[in-house]
Amino acid sequence: MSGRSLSLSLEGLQLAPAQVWGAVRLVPVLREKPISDLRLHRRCLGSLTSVVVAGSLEDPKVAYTSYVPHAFVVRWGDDASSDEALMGTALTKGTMPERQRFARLGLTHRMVKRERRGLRFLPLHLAMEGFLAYQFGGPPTIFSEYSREVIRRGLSPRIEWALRGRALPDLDDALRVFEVHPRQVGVLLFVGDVFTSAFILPRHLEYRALHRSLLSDFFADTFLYHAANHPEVPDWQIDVSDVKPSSLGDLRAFLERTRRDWAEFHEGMADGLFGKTHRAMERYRLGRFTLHQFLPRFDLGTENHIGETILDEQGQTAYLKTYSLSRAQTRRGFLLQQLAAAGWDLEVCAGELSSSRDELILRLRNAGFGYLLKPHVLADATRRR
Amino acid sequence: MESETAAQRVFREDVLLFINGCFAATGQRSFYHEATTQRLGIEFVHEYMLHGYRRVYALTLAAGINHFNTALIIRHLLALPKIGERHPEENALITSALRRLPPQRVYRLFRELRRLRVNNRRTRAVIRSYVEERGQWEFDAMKYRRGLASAARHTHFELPAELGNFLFLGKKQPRYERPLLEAWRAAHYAQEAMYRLPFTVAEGFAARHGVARDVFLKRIAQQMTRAERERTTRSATAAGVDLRADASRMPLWRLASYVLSLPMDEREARGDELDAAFVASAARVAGTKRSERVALILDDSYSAAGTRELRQRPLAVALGAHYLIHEAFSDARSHWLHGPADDRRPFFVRPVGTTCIADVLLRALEDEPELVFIVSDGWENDPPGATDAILQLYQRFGRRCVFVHGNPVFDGTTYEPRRLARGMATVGIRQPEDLLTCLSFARFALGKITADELESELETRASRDLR
Repeated sequence: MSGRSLSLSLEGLQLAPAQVWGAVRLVPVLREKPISDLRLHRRCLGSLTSVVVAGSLEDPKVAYTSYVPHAFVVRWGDDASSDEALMGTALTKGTMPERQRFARLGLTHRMVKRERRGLRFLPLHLAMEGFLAYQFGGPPTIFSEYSREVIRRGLSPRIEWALRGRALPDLDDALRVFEVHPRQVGVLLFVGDVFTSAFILPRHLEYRALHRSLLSDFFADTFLYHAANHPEVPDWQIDVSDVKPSSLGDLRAFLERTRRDWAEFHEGMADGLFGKTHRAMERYRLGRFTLHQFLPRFDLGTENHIGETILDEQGQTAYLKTYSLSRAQTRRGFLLQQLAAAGWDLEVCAGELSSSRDELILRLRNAGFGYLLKPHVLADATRRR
Repeated sequence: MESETAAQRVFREDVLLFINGCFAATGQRSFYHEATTQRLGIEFVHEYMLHGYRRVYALTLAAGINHFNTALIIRHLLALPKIGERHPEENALITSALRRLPPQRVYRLFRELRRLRVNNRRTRAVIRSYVEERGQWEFDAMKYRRGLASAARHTHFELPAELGNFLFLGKKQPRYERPLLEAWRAAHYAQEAMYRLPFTVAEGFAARHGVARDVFLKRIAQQMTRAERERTTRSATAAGVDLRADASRMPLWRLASYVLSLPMDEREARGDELDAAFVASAARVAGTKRSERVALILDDSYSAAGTRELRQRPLAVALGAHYLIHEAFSDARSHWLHGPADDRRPFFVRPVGTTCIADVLLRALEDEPELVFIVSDGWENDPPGATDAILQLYQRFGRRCVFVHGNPVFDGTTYEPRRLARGMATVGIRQPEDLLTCLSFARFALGKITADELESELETRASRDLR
């Protein structure tokens, strides 16, 4: 994905004081003016595993296989008229979900697909697909070190692991006891005070319906450790020692200031996503909105987020869902990025990284890319070390 | 207060923590914690008090605490007698507390004693004298069959004629002389007989015979007690039977829970009737009007929705408190955090939104009240700790004002209802009716009383109770 540069902003959005439960901190995101001409629905797919045929026209054989619990359907412009029943309250033809005696394999056609009314996409999987497909084609030049499979078929199969939301300790309870603001359209999720995910929707009604859907999202496995390391994240203390109030008005101003300080502080905590530029690829145009998929610049040592977002023509965020990469995943992305920059020449790439060719080969192997190289190349490098 | 020794202070704080817990804890699931957390927490406090301050522990029986804790105290006292000592005062307190408990709770306590193998002489005497004093042998045998049987087995007391056979042989005996027992035996075979039985017993037979709910309710209606009518009103209406439970005669807590269970359009349609019922019910417990200027802050945040076991309980307490405070004080004003759509119809309130007490507190302080009473579960989150900060700041310049926090939820992790702010008395409150008791206990919680005064206060209550 070479796409254009994209920076996300919290313009038009406000952060409210966080609500804490165990290792989980949830920062409510409020919207001053709801976006009325964009609608999101959730559609349960009801199968245990989904294969998404994500291929392009040139290569229709590429498939994305994952557990996909639901899809989002977006409608925009006139289709999103407000007189229609909201979010699953619409009366439809009664179809009871059949009882599943066997694990069902669902087949979904494409990550993003135009339907008769609206656009269907698979939340978060869209972002993950972007990450998996990054440099998926493999080396464009036939260097002798690369295995024949990689030359012929690219990085296939490219695999990443993630945790389901239910596996994260405290997340279920944190969402259950969370008190939703009247104007709330989203949430920033921190686990063990490490920024985990942002989830923002066009309107508060949609958020209320999708609040618990965070449980069926997926998260990097490192958050299990973050949660174990900080099982009780602290509530912030308000300092009153140097305040000299003389009227209720002063107190009101003080409360207002406290809220503002908090919002700024939370913004700082989420700097790894909102303070950086990302590489975005446009996936679909929905009237005045655009659906993007984005990748980070793979900075080792900082947070790296992949995600998908719907922005309006002024760059305001209507929809956002992100996934924070684990260190290992960042390393893989980083190595692919470096290889690509060096035209997949190991010698050049090693020079760029100021290390030896053997060190780079071992680094690739440790990152899980051993299968890219011929076995004897790996063995030689290991022996020489 | 300066002369208070460390030991006295520890004593005072311990006793207050315990009494507070006794007002709020029920051993059930709360919005934030599992039932186990709460039960372990309150059990610990009980054990601690029993071993540390046995006399005060027993005296608390007369302090107006809730049924759950009354039973728990009695169980602990009976299970651990002081060897070689007589306890006339304790015995009197236990007997009088048992009389106040509803019988199902007493029989559950007896079964618990049996499970724990508590079978000392005093326990046997207490059980025997309770059952004999009640004197409703047939009724108890019918309605609390397993309870009475277990008590009889445990303590070997003499059962009146036929009762022993009824409890231990049941329907195997071909015929009973006592009409109620005979009706019970016959109800196994004939539908007609079950309509002579108490409602809850008959309900089981109705299911056994497959009698339709509406037919059953229509015929059993004359056997139902008032409480049974009140609690089945809604399901009866759904079955097409009008039990005519009189809302205006319900106690405040039940009325509040009942009204909050009604759908909005029914609340709308019966608005005037419900409003009048609330006022009447509150006036019964309010007493003479006081003249202080009071501000009441009521928490209707999402957590007031309670749990499946205690549906909307915190909200019901708040709603009841709203009516009670207007009856008990001539100059009162209540402020909801988010508020019902119509200010004059507070029972339209719904538990939605965050807990932003600080904003509402500032609004309430504009009227310069002498007393601010907050009903909330204490989980402030918008922003957390703001009430505490505002209170600290207000006390630097504001007028003198007493702040009391009534908390309907016991937090098992801290052994007391969750606190909202320093310098604010937090008291447990189970029912809106307890609000006035709560206010009198707040005096203790604020530390305006010495350990000796506290003990003598408990003694006075106990002697009033025993007279």
